Amino acid sequence: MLSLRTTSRILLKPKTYIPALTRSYHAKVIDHYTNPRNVGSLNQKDINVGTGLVGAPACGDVMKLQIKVNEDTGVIEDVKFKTFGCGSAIASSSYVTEMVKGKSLDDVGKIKNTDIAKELSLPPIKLHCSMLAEDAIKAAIKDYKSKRKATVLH
Amino acid sequence: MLGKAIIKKAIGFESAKLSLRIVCSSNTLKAYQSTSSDVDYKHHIDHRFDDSRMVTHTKLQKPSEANNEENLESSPSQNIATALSHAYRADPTRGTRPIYLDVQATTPLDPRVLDKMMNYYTGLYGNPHSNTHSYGWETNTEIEHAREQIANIIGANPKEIIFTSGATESNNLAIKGIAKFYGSSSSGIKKNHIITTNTEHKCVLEASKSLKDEGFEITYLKVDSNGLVDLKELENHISEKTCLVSIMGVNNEIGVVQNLKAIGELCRSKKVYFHSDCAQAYGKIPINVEDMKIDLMSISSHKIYGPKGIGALYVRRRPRVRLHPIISGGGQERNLRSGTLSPPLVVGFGEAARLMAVEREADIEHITKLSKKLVDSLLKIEETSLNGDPNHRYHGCVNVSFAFVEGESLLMALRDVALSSGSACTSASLEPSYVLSALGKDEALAHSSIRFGIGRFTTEEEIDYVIKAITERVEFLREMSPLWELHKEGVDLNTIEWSGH
Amino acid sequence: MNTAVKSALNTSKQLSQQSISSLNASYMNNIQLFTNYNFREYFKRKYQREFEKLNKEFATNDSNAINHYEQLTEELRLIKRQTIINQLYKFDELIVEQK
Repeated sequence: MLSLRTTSRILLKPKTYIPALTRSYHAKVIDHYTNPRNVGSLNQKDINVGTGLVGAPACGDVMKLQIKVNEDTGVIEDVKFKTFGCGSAIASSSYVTEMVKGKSLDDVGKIKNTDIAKELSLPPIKLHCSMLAEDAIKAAIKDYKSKRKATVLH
Repeated sequence: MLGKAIIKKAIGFESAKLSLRIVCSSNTLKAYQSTSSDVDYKHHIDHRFDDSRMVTHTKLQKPSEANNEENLESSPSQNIATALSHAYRADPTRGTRPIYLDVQATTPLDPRVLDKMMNYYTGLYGNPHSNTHSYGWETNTEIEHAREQIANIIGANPKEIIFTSGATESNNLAIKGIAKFYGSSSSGIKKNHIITTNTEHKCVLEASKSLKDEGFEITYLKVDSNGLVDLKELENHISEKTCLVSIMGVNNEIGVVQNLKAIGELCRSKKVYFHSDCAQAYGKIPINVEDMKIDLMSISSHKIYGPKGIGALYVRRRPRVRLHPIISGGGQERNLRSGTLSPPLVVGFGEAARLMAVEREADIEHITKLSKKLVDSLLKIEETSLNGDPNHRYHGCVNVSFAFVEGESLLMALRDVALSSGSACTSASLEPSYVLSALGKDEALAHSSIRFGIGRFTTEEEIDYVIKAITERVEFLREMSPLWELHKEGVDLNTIEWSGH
Repeated sequence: MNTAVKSALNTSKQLSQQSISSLNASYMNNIQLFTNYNFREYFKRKYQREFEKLNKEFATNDSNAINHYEQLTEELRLIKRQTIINQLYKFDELIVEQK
């Protein structure tokens, strides 16, 4: 009786079932998730603030990363983030804010998604979260630089 | 002289007996109100069983996560009590096991059901089909009694109940059995059309899909945005080639109750068999197979506080439903389902059914009260919506969507409550629930939906904890969400050009 | 033993308020011994309801009262059996319970 039920269950399982798509979180991810660092917003209109908005709701991940750069030293004074996404996405963006605070724009431009993934021990299925975090910081830097260029031209 | 002595002795004996009786009764009275040091009422522990007790410590982590486990307590940030850390931090004064709010997946076994079953796991171990000795006769009598108890709930004849291994097998037997009968060349007219809905349980959908290879046509009726079937559309789809209509009574994901009586009338008038998957409905909403003209009905035991591994299929005898069995063997269960019946499971199932009838009023009152409290408090949170028709529903199944919060992070935030986002069958594959997609909800909203199941054993304290937890944690997650921020600023998210991968 | 107690307490075929309240007390004491939080709370609720009903029947001199009482004494035995089984298998406490 039991064996038929289990066999019929196996035969009737939807074809899209992929066992690897289970949720497993490292302690560091849980730490960043339950206590995220630097959540919030900076004034987008401020000349010293660069905003990066990446991702799409349809994909299930959206990150907004804002950096406030000291115009004299070129060092990131303050950073804030907001993320719509799974635990790994939140952890990746929270960790990125920790990484960039107090660093210069050039250093920060060198950040690779592999550093983030390694630190948080992200499983292969969640690597795109770290890539998105890298995109977010690059987009923020780009936005800041374009704002500066605009003011310099004026 | 001797007589007096005898009488004295007799009196003495009688009075001694009387006093002994009084002593005994007062001792037993004391036993009822035991104040012995063995029993600790405050901590619900009886120390007399200390040397035989088995203690099981349960782990919150999934097996795959156990490999990554580091000591969370050592992390300095854990000292800060954010809304989400309550889900992970162990409060030393309180327990660790999550609150169970997933009764649509399965229910705990009622102790009174276990009591009835224990007989068959200890002394009454006979095979009910052995009709040459008393071991067989005694278990067979009890099985027939259980059959009657199950039939009484739906107003059926005991002979019309076929025991199977669960609602999945019952659904398969109903659909494939009818298909086999009408698809075979031995029957006169060939009918090869089956109608079902797109919110049915996965096993019904898969069983129908498998019949496509054998030349059957399947129509998946669309439900409206509230989850109800449109009777006009059903009528339009029924043709003379239709042999079966399969529509479930209560949906396991959104709790919507279909109008079984109207559907039954329609099918009877068109001479089409009506099958209803009532695994979630049995015992909870009033069902009468005569009144509702149901020909086939699937029942599951572990949804009514009974044991797992047993279910039943109601097969109408008048007018006779012609089915082909899918399991061949010794011809048990009217030759529709061969195999030895398990007396403990069957008797447990019968007792669970009996209790559903006895406790129905009290259960409905309790569950409705808790459900109303939960739904009212959840809908007070901004941008939440209840999925499914608010009027035609079973109150024990509440499905709420929380907009602008991602589904997986929401479930991770609610780790100390045992919940489900959609049906258990599909939860492994991180796809949004197909039932919610059938209702027309967009994918993001389908991802951030949670199903709460309230049962007989749920307490008000648990509901209060869940309401508080959800309110706090959804707020926390929304504070972290850029989409919420944009929504608050009045930006329409559809107008933004996303960079997306 | 049960029947001896019954006969000792009810020498006439009549219920007394004292026997009802002592049965109620023994129910509440035994239900406390369920280690499972959900079962404990459920049975407390259920038997509070049952005894309210029984007291009402007793007050109005309903003929069902004595049958109800006897049914409840039988169900007490079931509760005792199940609390023993519950005691034998202990699991961690729920989040809402105090340890």
